[in-house]
Amino acid sequence: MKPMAVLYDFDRCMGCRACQVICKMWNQNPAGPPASFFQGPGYQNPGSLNDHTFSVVRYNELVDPKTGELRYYFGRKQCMACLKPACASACIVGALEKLDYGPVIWHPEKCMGCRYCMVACPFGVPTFEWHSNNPRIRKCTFCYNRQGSKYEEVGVKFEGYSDEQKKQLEEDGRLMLSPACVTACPSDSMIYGTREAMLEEAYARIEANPDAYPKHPRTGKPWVYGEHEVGGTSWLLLSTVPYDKLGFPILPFEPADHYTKISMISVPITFTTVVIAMAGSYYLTKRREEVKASEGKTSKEKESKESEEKKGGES
Amino acid sequence: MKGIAKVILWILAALAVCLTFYRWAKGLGSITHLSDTWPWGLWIGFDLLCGVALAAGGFTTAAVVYIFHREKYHAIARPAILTAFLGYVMVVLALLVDLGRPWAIIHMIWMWNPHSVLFEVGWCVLLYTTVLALEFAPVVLEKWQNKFSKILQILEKVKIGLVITGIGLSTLHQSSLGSLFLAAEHRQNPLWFSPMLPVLFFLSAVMVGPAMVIFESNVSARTMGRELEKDAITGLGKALPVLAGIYLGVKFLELIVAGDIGLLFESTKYSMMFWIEILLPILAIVILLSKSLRENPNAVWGAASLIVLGVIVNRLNVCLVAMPDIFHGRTYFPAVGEFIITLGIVSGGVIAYGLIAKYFRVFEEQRT
Repeated sequence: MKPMAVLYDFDRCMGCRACQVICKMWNQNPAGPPASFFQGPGYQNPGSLNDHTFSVVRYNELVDPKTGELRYYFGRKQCMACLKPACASACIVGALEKLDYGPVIWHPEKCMGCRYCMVACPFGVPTFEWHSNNPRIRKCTFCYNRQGSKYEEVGVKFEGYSDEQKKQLEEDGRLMLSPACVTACPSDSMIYGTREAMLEEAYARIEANPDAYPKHPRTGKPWVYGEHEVGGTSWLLLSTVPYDKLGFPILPFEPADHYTKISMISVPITFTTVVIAMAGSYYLTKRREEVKASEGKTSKEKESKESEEKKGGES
Repeated sequence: MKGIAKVILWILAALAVCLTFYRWAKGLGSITHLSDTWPWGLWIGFDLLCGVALAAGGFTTAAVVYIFHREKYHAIARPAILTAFLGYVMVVLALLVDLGRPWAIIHMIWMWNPHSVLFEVGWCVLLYTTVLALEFAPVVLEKWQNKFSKILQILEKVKIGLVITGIGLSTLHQSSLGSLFLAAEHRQNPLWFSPMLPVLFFLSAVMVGPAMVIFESNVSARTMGRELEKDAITGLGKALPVLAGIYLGVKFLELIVAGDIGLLFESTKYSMMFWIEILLPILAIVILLSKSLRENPNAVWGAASLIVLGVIVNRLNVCLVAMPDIFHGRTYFPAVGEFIITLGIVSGGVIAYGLIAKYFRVFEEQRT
């Protein structure tokens, strides 16, 4: 199956939080305690992702360059479902798994709760059940359990299509249920499809209005957030405001494991080198001592041996 | 050991045990200040990172004594290996408190993720703890020499193999603890983040190994009323400035090459913590460069303590200070419960050391 993606156009988002509500419904997450307006980030509720909130609409208060006044710029935070997920490469037992069609899911039967995934995630997404004695890692699953099912399985009939057309539809992921949040959006800010198609659509929107969109600060090219970030993500964000102002960090294009990969490759090399060097030193020093001992039997060695030992000790 | 100190150690250890059961029942949030933006706290920063680093005396001393045959250090081999072994046991105990699902720690053995640095660290710690147990086993078994003579013979035969394996494993995981933070490139302060982190972790472990042996020899000599291994200690004291010089040299070179050296002269909490971390070993070098002080065991002890402290600050910096919450700006300071458990585990280690030294021939002069 082709990798799927959601294109999220932040400029179309009106901050209604319908996606946030339906996300809770689909994942059967309870409501949290009411947020206090003056202690949190304004109307944003809750202030951040937590063990029962997998996606949160961010209310970014920024100065509108046209009017010079403060206004809200919306965006949403959820698991970006990286193509090369940092969490999955970090996990000691492989409890986080990347599925071929996009989602990154967590396996409760493996996890030991070390929380390295939370340290490694460049978006700060995975959360933890801090008040449970059998805690889970909680995060958006990119609705793997919706995307994994086909319309036909939930009773939607596709009539009037030839088998070949159906096959094509399946290959394009068109027969799959979209993530819950996408279905809830009243302003069509999110669309779902293959990653290829979504990128095409993003660039079409940029092309229609090239001056409005920000350029990437390093490459100077049009910036679709998630196209290249940490090796690419399944969520593609589009905004006329630079993403770093909306709470999305400027990240390198290399996958998050590009350094740790090198250190893991060098493990067997380091081990072999050290072991050979140590074994060699062991035999060399042993041999030297044996030679010294055999010489010692003959002549005035005692003094020279002592002085040598001293030297050896000092060096 | 003095009576009151002993009582305090036992109380701390008992408190930690009680708190551990409470935390297992109620979750990590009940006694810690850890949160979604601060998933790792004092237990990883101190108990794991410092615990492993300060146990480096085991493999450095084993290398000097058994590989390079420096006989004058023979007296410190057993105490160093005992400290290392207890250190690793303490690390594992701390992990059992820190892990969200401690019973699942054994998953590591058959659920493999070879891409994970933590996977390598876990295996190295597991194997090296076993190696240390085998290296130390003769000390325990020789007490019943007649019963275990066969096992003792076998252990004597494989000793060099064990030592070499132990050095290899130590090299790997001492450096890999630094590699853990290579995954935090996006949030770690550039003063600390560097692709060289594994090398720096290894070099600082090699530096702190002898320093810890000096420190611990002095403490045990004083509290147990035995004679200090003066020859070995002054010998190690001569090695310290060289090892510290190499570590600091590489650290500064890295900062210059990466172009982050300027950050040192901005007045932020990061630069301040960085200066503390490097001034401690620099001060130790200054002390040990003077010939008269180098011959004075007390001065060597002081310098070694400065190096130990410097490495502790370094590990806490890498794990806690250098990792700000870039998304919400929340801060973290360990809760009382975290401190109690950390102190309790350390107390347990000290108690165990005292008991083992009392009943087995850990120190040379007790040999008949």
